[in-house]
Amino acid sequence: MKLWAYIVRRLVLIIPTLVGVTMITFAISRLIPGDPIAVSLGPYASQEQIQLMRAKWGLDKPLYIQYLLYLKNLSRGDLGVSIHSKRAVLDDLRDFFPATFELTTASMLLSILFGIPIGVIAAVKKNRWPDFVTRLYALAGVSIPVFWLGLLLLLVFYFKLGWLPGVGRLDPHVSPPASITGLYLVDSLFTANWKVFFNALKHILLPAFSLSCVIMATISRMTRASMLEVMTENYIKAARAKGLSERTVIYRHALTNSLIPVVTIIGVMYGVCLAGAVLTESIFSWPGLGRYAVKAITFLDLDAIMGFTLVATLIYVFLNLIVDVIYVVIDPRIKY
Amino acid sequence: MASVEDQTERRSRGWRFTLHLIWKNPLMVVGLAVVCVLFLMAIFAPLISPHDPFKINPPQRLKPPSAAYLLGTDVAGRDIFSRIVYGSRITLQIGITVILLALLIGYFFGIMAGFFGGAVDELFMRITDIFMSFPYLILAMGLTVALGPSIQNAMLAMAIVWWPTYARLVRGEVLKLRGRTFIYASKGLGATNLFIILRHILPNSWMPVVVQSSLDFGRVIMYAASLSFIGLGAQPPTPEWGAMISDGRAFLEQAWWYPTFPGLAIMVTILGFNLMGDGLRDILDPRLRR
Repeated sequence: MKLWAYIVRRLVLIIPTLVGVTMITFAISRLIPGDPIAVSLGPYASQEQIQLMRAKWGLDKPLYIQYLLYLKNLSRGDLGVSIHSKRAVLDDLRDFFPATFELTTASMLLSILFGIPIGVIAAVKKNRWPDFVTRLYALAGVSIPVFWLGLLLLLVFYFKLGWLPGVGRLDPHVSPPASITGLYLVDSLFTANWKVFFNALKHILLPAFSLSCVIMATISRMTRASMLEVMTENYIKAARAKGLSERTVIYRHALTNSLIPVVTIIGVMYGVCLAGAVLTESIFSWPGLGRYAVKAITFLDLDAIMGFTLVATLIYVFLNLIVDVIYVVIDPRIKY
Repeated sequence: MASVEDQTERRSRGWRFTLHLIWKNPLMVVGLAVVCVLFLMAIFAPLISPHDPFKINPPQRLKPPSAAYLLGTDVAGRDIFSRIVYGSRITLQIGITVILLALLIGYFFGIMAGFFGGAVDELFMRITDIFMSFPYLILAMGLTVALGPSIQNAMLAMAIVWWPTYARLVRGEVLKLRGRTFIYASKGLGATNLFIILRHILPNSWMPVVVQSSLDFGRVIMYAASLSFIGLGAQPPTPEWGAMISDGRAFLEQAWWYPTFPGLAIMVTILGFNLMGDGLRDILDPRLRR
């Protein structure tokens, strides 16, 4: 019961953030030098088209009315039209979203699945070689530019060794699975389409790995620090004194208590992951939001870019809300 | 009251102690060395680079690393090593400018919010909340597109997304200081707010800010390179490392050295700054000393 009240309160608190976010994207779209309408319609727009757009966005009216109009258009799902694809930006984003969702989720899972155990091992073997290797990796991992790592992986595993495919979500001759969620891995699993499943898996490995490198390093570093802190607590001594096995002490008592800061950092890391997707997707020709955004940048396709900025930010804000809720669920000490 | 000799004595011992702490931390020594090399490279770029970083030389295009061209040549036949050396100037310039700009804005908002409190605090902190709920790089992307792709605008956009971190930090420090007796005493003696801020708040609040900004340096460099990579930062023919990787991308298969070495330069630089920042934090925050 109380948890629901907390979620509702958090949802209400998100409103000022959303107002702020839209104000900033609105300000950005008004910052553009020159006539934003002429720019957004491209060089071949007729005079009537420009007049029409001008009325639609209320550019002749005062700024606050323009902002309200902007909100009104947003609430109708109108993010403008992409000059490159000639389609509504919202439709474009909807089409490209599943690929990005699949890639970012896969890399987050990869990072969590490996990052937490690596951190635990480092903490347990403090100042021995596994710890040194982990710390070295944590330092190097956050220093590697994600786009450069992607290129290196492409060079080694695609061009030189030829072990893994380098572009796209599937081989050209493989047709995508029946669309249920839009995530190829999940859809092919549901329909027991193994050929497509393994093909999709092979394609996602390189981009997901290059995306997760930084995130995994951060998560393992955080887990290690948090574990070390928890291991000095009295209840760990008590658990050991009770004669519990070291395994139980570490996984049941220490790890569950050290997960709180790790969960927080996972929320922040999703933002890093989304931004990283912009770079990784364009390297691996992954047909997602990131590649769409980079293409939009090269064409100076403003509506598309602002649409992407807005959607990416909203995803980030809501994911952090979810993280806060998980937080409360895993730590009963937190009052909400 | 301590004599002048005593004070200098203590200060020199303090310095010696700091040096001792640095020396005891081999990773920080490595970080400092990398940063020093980077600065030397930037200062003495014309002396170090064997070739003109801008000179186009088509017959020598895409040559692999050799004695004449240490790290190979790029698509226009320019020496990659020389371009990396000159690129260090741009990298440092970006890092310093962005951090200083963000510090300036952050300090202003942080001091205003912390010192005056009340409605001003509430307003400024809500503004930083909103900025902090953005994924940094994506907001910087949007801003740079709106301002027009160039290295100056990329720096401006990064400073705009970066300052809230510092505002938060400074505000926290100011709040800690505000209730201290010496501030009250100063007020009692009739000091103006401006005097208190300049004379007491600033000198007593810089330490955590310095640590944070040294840790941020690497990330700023990373984001700048990322923006350049997607074509929003440095424009050709600027020898910016991220832009060089972007140029070399198309030649990955036939000329692996083209995108590889600029990326290595970025990685080593960021690693250097991170190691230095970590070490600095350990030294300036005595609680972390073991």
